[in-house]
Amino acid sequence: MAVGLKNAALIRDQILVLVQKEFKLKYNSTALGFAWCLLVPLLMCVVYYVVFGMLMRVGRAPNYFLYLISGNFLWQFFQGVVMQNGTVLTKNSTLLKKANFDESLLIWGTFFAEALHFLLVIPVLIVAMALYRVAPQWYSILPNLLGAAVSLILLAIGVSYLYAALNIVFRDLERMMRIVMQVWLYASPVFIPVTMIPVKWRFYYMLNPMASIMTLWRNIFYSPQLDWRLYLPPLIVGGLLFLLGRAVFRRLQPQFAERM
Amino acid sequence: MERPIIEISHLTKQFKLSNRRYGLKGVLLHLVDYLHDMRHPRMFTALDDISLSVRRGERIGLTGQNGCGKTTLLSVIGGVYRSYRGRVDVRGRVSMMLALGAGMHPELSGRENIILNGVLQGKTRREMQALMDDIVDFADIGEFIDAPLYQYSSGMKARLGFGVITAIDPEILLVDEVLAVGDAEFKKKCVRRIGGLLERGCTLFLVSHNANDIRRNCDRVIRLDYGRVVADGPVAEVIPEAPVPAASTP
Repeated sequence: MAVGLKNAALIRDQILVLVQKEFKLKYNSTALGFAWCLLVPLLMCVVYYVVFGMLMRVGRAPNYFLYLISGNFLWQFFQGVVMQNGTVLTKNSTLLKKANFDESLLIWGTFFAEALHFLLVIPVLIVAMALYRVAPQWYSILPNLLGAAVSLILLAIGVSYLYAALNIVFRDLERMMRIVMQVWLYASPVFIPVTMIPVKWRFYYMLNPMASIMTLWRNIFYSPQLDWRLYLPPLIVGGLLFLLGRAVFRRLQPQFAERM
Repeated sequence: MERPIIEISHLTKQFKLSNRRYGLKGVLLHLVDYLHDMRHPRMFTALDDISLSVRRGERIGLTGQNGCGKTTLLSVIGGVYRSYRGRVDVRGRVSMMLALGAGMHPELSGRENIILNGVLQGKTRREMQALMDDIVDFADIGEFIDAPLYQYSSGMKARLGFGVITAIDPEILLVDEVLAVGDAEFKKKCVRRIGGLLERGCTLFLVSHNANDIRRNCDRVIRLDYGRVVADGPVAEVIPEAPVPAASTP
C-alpha cells in the first residue's frame, strides 16, 4: 500500500516535471510567448470568418465568430496534442535513451501541457460570449463538458499513442499525418455548421468523434436541450482508438530507446 | 549467502542492421525488399552470451575497445534496452549516467535538469529539492547552474550529471566514461564521492579506458571483446601494474 502511494506520488511528479518542461519550452523560446499561442488561433478565426462567413457564405451559424473560436480552440487543443506527441519520443531522445522511465508519461505530459493552455484561452471565449450576449446553458455544462472531456481524452491519447509509436518505425509518418489532420479538420464542424450536413447523413457524420465532441462542447453555449445521442458515438470510437493505440504503443515500447 | 545484486545469464543483445531507412513511403515503394529485410535481417551482435554475477558492494571496472558492448551492457542493466535474449535480474535501485547530458534536456537550466533527471530516475520532486543544494555545491559551476544546458561545456555537463546520480542514493551506480572529460580536481571529487557511496554498500559499474581510473576506483575488472567477456577478475590480474611500454621500438 505504502509502495503504491509512493509510486502514485512519483508518477504524479514525473508528469508534473514533464508538463513544466513542455510549458516552458513552448512559451520561453519566443519573445511574445503566450501571446503568440493565443493570437495565432484567433487570427485563423478572422481568416475563416472572412472566407467562410463573408465570401463563401457557408458559415451561417448564429453568432458565427463565437462559433468559430469555440470550435477552433478545441480543434487546436486536439491537434496540438496529437502533432506534438508524434515527435515527443524523438525530441526527448536524450531522456529516454539514458533514463529508465515509462515513455507513456511523455504522451500524458504533452496532453496536460496542452490542456493547461486550453484552459488559459477560455477567458477569450467568455469575453466573446459576453460581446454576443450569449449565456451558457447552465444545466448542460456538467453533462456536456464531462461527455466531451472523457471522449476527447480517450481520442487524443489514443491517436497520440498510435502516432508516436508508429513514427519511431516509419519516420516519414509526420508528412502523412499533416494531411490526415487537414482532412480531419475539414471533416469536423470547425467552420461549417452541422446543420449544413443533410439529415440522412448526419448519423455517419457524427461518427467522426471530433464532430460529436465539438457539438457537445458548443451545445453548452447554443442548444437549449440536451441531446443524448451525441454521447455514445465519440465514446465508442475514442475508446476503441485508445485501446488500439495503447496496445500498439506497449508492443513497440521495448524498442523505442534502441531505435533512436 | 546473500543473493547477488545483479545476475545475468546468457544475455545476448542483437541490433538489426539496415542500410536502408524505411519510411512509410519506402515500405510502400519497396515492399518486396522490405519484407525480405524483415524476414532476413542482418544482425549485429552487441552482447554475445554474457553471464555475470555481481555481489552487493562490488566495484567493477568495465573495459574493452570501442564497440565491444560496454554501453550496451550498462543500458540493459539500467533498463533502457528492454528487448534481449537471456535473463537479467537487477535487485536494487539503479542510477546511471550513460552519456554527457543523458537524462537531461538541453533547453532547461541546470537546476531544472536536476529536478527532471532525479524525478525520472525515481525520486519525488520534494526529495530532489532537498538534495538541490548538495548537487549544486558538488557541480560547482557558478552561475551556469541557471543557464540552459546547451551552453555547458562537456566538463560542466559531467559535473552536473555526476552530482545528480550520486546524490540520489543509488544501490547500483552505472557510470560511462564520465571521468574522462573532467579535470584532475573534479576526478578527485568524484573518487571521494564514489567512496562515500561505496561505504554505504553501493555497487559500482565504471566504464573506462584509463587503467589508473580503474585501479583507483575498482576492485574487479571485466574486459569485453566483440560482445563477449574475455577477462573477469581482480584488478591486479586483469590490468597488471606497469604495463609494457607501447612504443618500444628496437
